[in-house]
Amino acid sequence: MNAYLPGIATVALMYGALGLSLNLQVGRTGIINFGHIAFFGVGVYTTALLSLHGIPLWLSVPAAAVVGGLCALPLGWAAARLTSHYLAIVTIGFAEALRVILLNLEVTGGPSGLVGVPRPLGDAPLETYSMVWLFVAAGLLALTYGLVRLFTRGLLGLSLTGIHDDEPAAAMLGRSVAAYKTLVLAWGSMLAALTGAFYVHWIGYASTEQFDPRVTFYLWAGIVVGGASNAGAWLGSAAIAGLFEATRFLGDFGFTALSETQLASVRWIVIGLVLILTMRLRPQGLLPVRTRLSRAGASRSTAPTARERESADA
Amino acid sequence: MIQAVVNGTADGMLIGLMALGISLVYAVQKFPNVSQGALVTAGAYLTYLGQELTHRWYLAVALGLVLSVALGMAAYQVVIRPFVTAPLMTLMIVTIGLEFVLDYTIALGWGNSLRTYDFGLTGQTTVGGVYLTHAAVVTSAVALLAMAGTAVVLTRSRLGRDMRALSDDPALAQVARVSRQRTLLFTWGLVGLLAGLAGLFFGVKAQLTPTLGWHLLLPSFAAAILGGLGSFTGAILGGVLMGVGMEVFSLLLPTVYKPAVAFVVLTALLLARPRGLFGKAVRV
Amino acid sequence: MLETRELNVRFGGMRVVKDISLTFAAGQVTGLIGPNGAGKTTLFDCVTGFVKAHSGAVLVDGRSLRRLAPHLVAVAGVARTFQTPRMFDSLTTLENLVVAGAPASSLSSFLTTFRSRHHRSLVDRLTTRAREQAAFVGLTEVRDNRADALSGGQRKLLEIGRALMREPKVLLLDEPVAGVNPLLARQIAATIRQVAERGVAVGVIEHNMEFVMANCTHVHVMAQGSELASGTADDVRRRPEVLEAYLGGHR
Repeated sequence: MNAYLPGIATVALMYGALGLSLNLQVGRTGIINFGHIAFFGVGVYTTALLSLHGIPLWLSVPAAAVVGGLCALPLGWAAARLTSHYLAIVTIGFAEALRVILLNLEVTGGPSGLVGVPRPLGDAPLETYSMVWLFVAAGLLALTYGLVRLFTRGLLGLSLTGIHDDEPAAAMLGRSVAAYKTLVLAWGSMLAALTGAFYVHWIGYASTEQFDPRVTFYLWAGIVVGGASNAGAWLGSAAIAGLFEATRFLGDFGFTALSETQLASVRWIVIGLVLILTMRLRPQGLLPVRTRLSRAGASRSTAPTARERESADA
Repeated sequence: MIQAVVNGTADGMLIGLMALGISLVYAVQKFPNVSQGALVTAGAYLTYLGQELTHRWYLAVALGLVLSVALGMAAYQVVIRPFVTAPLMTLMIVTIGLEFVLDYTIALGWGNSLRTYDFGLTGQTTVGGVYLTHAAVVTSAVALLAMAGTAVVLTRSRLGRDMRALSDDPALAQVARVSRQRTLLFTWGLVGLLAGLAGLFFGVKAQLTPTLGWHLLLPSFAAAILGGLGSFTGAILGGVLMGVGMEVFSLLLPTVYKPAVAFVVLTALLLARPRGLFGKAVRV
Repeated sequence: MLETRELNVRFGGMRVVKDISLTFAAGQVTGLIGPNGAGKTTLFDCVTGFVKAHSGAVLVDGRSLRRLAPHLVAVAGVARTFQTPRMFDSLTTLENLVVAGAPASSLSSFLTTFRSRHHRSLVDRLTTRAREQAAFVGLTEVRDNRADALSGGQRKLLEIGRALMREPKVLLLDEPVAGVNPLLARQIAATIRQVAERGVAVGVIEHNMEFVMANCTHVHVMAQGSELASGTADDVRRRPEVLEAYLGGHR
C-alpha cells in the first residue's frame, strides 16, 4: 500500500488544484463552466508538444499556462452574453469539440496521444520519484492557491463579488461584466493548463482520455460536496480524485469482484449520485442563496438586459 | 452529395426525436434536460433486453417502448419531482447526475461490448442512383408518425392542453386547476417514449454502446435550439437540418469532427439568434 | 446636463416611449412624474443602456450615449439608482462604497493587484473617501454592517452614496423616497439638493408629490409614453391635462 500512496496523493493534489481554479470561476464569480477540464488538456498537450520538440521545461510549462489562458478568451466572450444554462451547454460543447480535434490531429498523435514526454528525475528509483513528485504536487496546489488569492484579494476581488452579487449594479458602476468574466475565465483556465503541464511531466504521456469532458464533473462534485469556498473546493476535489484513484488498485489487494472497466462505470455512477443527492441536501442549490442563479426564476430586475428586450421585439 | 443529404435526413430524424424530447421538457420546465441522452441509450438497451427475453422483434419493440415510458415517468418521479421548484441550474446539474447514473448502470449491465438487434431489417434499395437502406426508410416513416402523433397529443388531447398551459403561463395554469405533478409525469412519460423510439432507431442502424446517447447530446441540443426551444415543429425541422448538415459537412472533413460542427452551430445560434427558426423570444 | 431628443422605445410592436425630448439641467433637481406605466423607468433604462432605443438621441453634455452598454454610460458620467435598490449583499456598507470608487476597468484592477504598494495606498485613499461618503449620506453608524442587513431607507441612501462615489455629471434616481419614513425622506431630500448644488444634473422619478413640490425646480410630466407637460412644479400641477392624467391621484 505504501508504494501506491504517493501516486494517489499526487493525483489527488493535482485535482485539488483544478478544483481551486474552477471554483474561482464558479463559486467566486458565478460563471458556469462545464468545460474546465479542456484547459487542463490544453496545458497537457502544449507542454508535451513543446518539450518533444526540445523546448526546455522552464519555458514550456509557463508557455502552456499562457496558451491555456489565451484559449479561454473566446469562451469569455460567450460567457458575457449567455446566462447560466446556455453557457453551460456551450462550455461542454467547447470541451468536447476541443477533445475531438486533439484526438484526431496528426500532430498531436491522434488516438494514441503523445508518448515519451520528458519526466524530470525519470531515471531515479520509483520511491524517490514518487516522493519528490508528491512534494511538487503539493507545491503546485500551494502555488495555485496563492495565484487564486492574489487574484481575488483587494480591489479586483471586490469587483468580482460585486458582479457576482448584482450585475446591473456593477454595470452602472462602470464595470464591463464581459471583461471581468473573460479575465476570470482566462486566469482560471491558465491555472488549469498549468496543472495539466505538471501532470503530463509526471506521468510521461498525453492522451485525450485524461480530459474527457465528463471529468469536469469530478471537480463539480468536489465543489458541490466541499462547498464553494477555496478550502471546500480543493478538499472536495482532492478527496474525490484520491478516492477514485485508489480504487484503481483494488485489484492488487484481492478485490477482484469487479473488473477495471466495471469499476470505471461504478465511479461514474457514484459521481452522478453525489450530484443528485448533494443537491437534495442543499435545497438552496449549489451556490449561496444570494447568487443570480437562484434568482433565475424570480426576476428582481427592473432593468432588463438589452438582450432580453431585443429578443422581445418579435 | 444527394446521398449525403439522404443519409443525413435519416440520421436527422433520430436527432429530431431527441430534440423534440428536449424541447418538450424545456417548454414545461424551462431547463435543458441533459439526461435526454441517457434516456435514449436506455431506450435502445431496453429494446435489446426485450430481444434477449422474447426473441421476437415485435415483442422486443413493444417491451422496449413500454419500459421506456416507465423509465421516463420513474425518472420524473424519483429524480426530477423533488426539484421541481428548485433553481434551473440545480435541475440541470441533477439531470447531469441522472445521465451518468443511467449511462453507467447500463454499462455495468451490458458491458462495453457492442450489441446488435436481430430484427432482420437489413438490405437496401436504390432509387435513382441513391442508396436507401430499408432500415432508414422504416425508421424515418415511423419517426414521422411519432412526430405527427405527438403533434396530435399536443393539440387535441387534454394532456397536450395542460402541457401548453404550463408552458405558457404556469401561474395561470395553477389557477385553472391544471395538476402540475400529473402533467409533468405524463410529459416525462411521453419524453421516455420518444427517447425509446430514438434509441430503437439507433439500434436498428448501428451497434449499441453505452455512450451512444451522450454523444448525441450536443447535436440534439443544437437541433433543439436551431428549431427554437419550445417549438415542436421547430425541433423536428432542426433535427433534420442538423442531421443533413453534419452529414454534408463530413463530406468536407473527416467524420470524427461532427461534434465540432454541432458545437459551432450551437454557439453561433446562441450568440446570434437564440430563438432559432420558430422559437418564441427567449432570454439568453 | 442630460438631454434626450425624440427618443422612442419599442417593446414588441408597441411604442412605450414616444418622441420624448427632455432636459435635465446641471445644478438642478428635475422631477419626472406621471401615472404608473407612463414609461418613466423605461426612459431611465434606455438612457442608461439597459434598453435599446428605437430612434432618437441621448446626449450628456453634447456627447451621444446611443448604443452604449450600461458600463460605458457609467463611464460617460451617468449614475443611477433603481426602483428596488440593488445591493452588493455580501459586502459591508463601506465596502459597497469602496467598490463604487475603485477603478472600473478590469485590466487596471488586475494590474493593480500586482503592485502592492500602489494597491495599498489606493485602498487607503478609497477607504477614506468611502468614510466621507458614508458620513455625507448619513450611514456612518452602519458602515461596517453588511448591506443585506440594512433597512429599506438605508439601502436607498447607500445606493445614492455609491452613485456619488463616481462623481457623476448626471444622477438619475428612481423613486428615492418611496416607502421611506418621512424623517429619512427629508434626509434624502437634503442630500439630493446638496448634490445638485455641486453642479450635478439630478433627475428624479417620484410619485410623492410633496417631495416633488419641495425639491424639484423643474418638472417633466409623462403619461402613456408621451410627454404631457413641462415647467416649474407649481406651474405643472395646475395644468388640467396633468390633473386628468392623474385622475383622482395625488394632492
